Amino acid sequence: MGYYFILIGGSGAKTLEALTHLCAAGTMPSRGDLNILAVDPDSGNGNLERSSTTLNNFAPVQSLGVGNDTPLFKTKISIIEPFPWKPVEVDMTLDDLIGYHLQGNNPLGSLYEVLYTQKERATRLNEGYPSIGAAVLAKKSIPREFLDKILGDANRGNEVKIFLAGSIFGGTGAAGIPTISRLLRNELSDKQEKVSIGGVLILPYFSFSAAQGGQDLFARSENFHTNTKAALKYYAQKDNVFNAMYFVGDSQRANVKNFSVGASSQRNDAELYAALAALDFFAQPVTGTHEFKCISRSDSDNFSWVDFPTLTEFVNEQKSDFELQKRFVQFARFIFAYIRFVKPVLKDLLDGRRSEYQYPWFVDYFSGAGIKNTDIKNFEDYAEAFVLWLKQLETLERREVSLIKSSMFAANPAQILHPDEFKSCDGVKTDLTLHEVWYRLSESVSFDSSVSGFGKFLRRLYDACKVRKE
Amino acid sequence: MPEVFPMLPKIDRDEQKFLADRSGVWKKDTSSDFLTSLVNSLETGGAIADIGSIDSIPDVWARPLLFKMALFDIGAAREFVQGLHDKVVGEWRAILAMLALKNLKQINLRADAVDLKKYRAEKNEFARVFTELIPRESSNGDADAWLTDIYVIFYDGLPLAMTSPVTLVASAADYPSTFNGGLSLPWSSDGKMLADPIKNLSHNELAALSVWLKNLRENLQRDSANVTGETQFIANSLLKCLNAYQLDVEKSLGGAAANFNLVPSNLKLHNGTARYLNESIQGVAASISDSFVRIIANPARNNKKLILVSPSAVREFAQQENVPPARFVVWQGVSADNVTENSLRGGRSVINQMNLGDTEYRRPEDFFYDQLAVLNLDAPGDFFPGALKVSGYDAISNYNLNIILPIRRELLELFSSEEIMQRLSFTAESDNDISLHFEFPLSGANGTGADFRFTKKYSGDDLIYLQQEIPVIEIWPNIQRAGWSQYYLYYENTQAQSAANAEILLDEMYYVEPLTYGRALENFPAQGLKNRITARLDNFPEALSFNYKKAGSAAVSEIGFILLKKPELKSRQSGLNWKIGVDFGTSSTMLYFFRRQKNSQAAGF
Repeated sequence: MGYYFILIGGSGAKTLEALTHLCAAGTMPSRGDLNILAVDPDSGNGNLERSSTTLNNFAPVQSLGVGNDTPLFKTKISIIEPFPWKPVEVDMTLDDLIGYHLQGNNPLGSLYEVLYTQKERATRLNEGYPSIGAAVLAKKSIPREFLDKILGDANRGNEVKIFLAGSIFGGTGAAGIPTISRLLRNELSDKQEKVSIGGVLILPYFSFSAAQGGQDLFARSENFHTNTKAALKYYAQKDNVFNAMYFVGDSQRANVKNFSVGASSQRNDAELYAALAALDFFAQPVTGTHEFKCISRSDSDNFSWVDFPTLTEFVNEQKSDFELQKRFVQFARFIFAYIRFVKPVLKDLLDGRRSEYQYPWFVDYFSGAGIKNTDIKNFEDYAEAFVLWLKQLETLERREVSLIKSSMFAANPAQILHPDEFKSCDGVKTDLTLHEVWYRLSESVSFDSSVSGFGKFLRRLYDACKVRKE
Repeated sequence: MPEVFPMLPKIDRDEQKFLADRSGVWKKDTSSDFLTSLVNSLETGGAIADIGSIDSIPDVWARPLLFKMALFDIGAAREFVQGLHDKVVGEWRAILAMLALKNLKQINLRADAVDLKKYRAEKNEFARVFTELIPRESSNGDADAWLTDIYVIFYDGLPLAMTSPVTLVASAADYPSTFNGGLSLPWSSDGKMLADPIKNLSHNELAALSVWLKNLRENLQRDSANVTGETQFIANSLLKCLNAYQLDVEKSLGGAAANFNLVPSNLKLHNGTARYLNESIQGVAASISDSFVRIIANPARNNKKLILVSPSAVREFAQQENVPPARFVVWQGVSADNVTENSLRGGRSVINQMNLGDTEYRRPEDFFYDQLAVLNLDAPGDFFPGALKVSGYDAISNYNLNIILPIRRELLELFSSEEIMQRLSFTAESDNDISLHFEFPLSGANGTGADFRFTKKYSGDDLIYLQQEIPVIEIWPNIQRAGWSQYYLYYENTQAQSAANAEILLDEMYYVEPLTYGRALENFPAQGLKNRITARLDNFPEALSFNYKKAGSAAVSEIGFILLKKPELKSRQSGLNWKIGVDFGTSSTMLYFFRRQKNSQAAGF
């Protein structure tokens, strides 16, 4: 199975951030690679910058030897270069891109004048604008490396699942989702039986008072609703190239303060659902059907674990379902346990400034193991990114979120504020205290040869964070 | 079933369609109308300022596609964007009406074909932008229609719209900026946005439009007889819109449409459904008889074809006639609303770029001088006892003023002195605030004639106070008789100076000149540059033109007229013979006459 994820624009970038953490937590359906193509003409996109950082932190972590028989880091994320793919050069206008001024006085130029306003034509393309973006993308081709990878998978007989994510009420995502999906469908027209295309259309879930700095062409939140309906109507009237379309939005639109083009939005909930939509799509078999999917929650004001779907995975080609909560919470505990009692002492232990005998897990997994400081550093950077993301997920404006207890931890830097909440951090009472984890780390365990180095310790810590009895 | 809430923006109807049995489950829907249901169920956003506020259609062809969405947003489903349907219908109707009435109203339209199929075959890179995402939908089922049937429509040389295989026409994305407020009625009420023209078209134009729409609808009906699926939806929606348009036109028309011929409009729209737009209502030769503002002149006078036009006059007259300005026919294709200062800048034979042929327009004020000359008297009185007195003359006399009628010569070419006297009047608020009124006889909206009252105010600097002594003006004899053709005019200015130095007179000066319509003036000194004139005339003049030279100026100009009473018609008394003897003496002249064999008598003056 070949998995391909195309993120388009700011909301797409935030979906990638969520998907990266879900991949790290082992929620993908199988161990196949997840290939990422980022499409964003805006080099100042704060969301993409943050997602890139998360991805870059995770990239080295996924190669640590945690073993092939664990969900932890089971999916390898592969970035397609260029990352991101910028269809246009910075500060170029649509007139520049299509060479309008070179056309002279011909009917094509007149048609162009009828279809676009002067303002649109003079807008910098990296500011994002659906109809402009569509023109840009129509003139460009999908990066060859990405297509070759897909074709390679399909030619080897693998099923290929391509998922696109972006918002449809803003700029880049709105332009890119239908355009790129159609370009892909055209390029892969002779691989229909092997290729399935899905997408999540993120509908309004935040608002802002006005774009600052006089950027009047940028979509304003008061028009989000109108633009959403217009875009959906457009989709309804076009040939549906998607095998599955997911819809995610929110009736409570949190106000994003100090919004500016390229700023990083502080909400993660819709994008978490968007990432879960990708997981759902990746778990479905390739069919020629066209499906539309949306999801509900149990409380109009709150989020809890019952609002998230059961996931599917394939272990040894056997399909099985699992609860997101269990796997995600185990992963979260694994990160928090590391932050609580490994990170503060590890550097000193490695440098010999602290006595090893007080830390049997260090003796068992670090002493003489030749563990590189860079591996530790990469993992700790990733852990920081995860906690920061989780913290923002837990502190939604006007929403009570009951996933991982927000009171237990702080972010930036990541730390546990109330260690006693660790055992019931997801609201479920367990005996799994931090002390218990520490204790388990000292138990003797054997791993196969795929488990090695720093990965071996992480694997052990991850396993120790599994709830054995509730 | 536990209550669940969709992870969607606000839904205000058919919520169940999007709810799963429980939370956290992806509800799957494979129905083809899922997206349409979602659009209809999502809470409607607020009204938008204009169609340009919607910028989320991710397509090069966003403009015509959005136009289609809004135009076809009809039926039971409520508007997907509040107010957008009405705006787009207005634009659509205006563009169609322009095409329909192109010839009739001499609208400056042009169309350029955009053969994308050809450009694509030539691998034109610019065209690729358009062809890559080319729509496949049309009202006649032709999937290549967008490649072959697109035309850009220009109005006054600027891009206004395009033809569309789904909606026939669609407005250009930037036309409000392109025309920069320069769109006029009946196409736009505010100069910026195209709007439904029905209420701004004349009866004749509505009748023509009705015929054109009927023809268009029939053509499209034939085209879409066998279409199915989405094409059928498009064709039906289009026909519904056309039908509604025609019904509204007929409702406003209030009667059956007259006969009109359809002729090629020379736009060369030959492909697809656009070819049905290539026909336009045949223009009929414009005639002054169609105009509501034709000046009904004295038939015995000049046969000049004149219409009375000014931005204010036509609007006031339209109001007086109880006809909306947009439907008030100033000229074929020109309504009162079309008459602006700008529209009158093309000379007296052109209004709003429409050539009037052998007709000319006049503004009401063209018939009157800008200044009013008055004789300033010491006491109330009438120093022109032989002149016709217009209404209000006496009232002004009470201010110790005798007015010289500030009418221009052309008015006397249209109306007799008596007619002018009946139509002209004055009112005065004070001795320097006098208003002139003239009732212009015009054809009127019903063609049965109606007077339009024009008022011109003279105050302050508009008044010329003539300070000279009262001139002597006599015409003799003051009778008319068949065959009588010897009259004498005597004019003397008591301030008279010698004719030799008249041209360099430093003082104010005026003189009169007799005028009779259709009769040339002979033996009269050029520019009246004699201060004492005796002229022999072959008729009793109907008016005296009043010519004036300012003090210190050499230029003499006409400033008005004195209308003369027609002398009494006398018949010859048979057998009545006079013999007259004149002794031209140096100190005095004596005249004796001898009548009916009686003794001779001295004639006293």
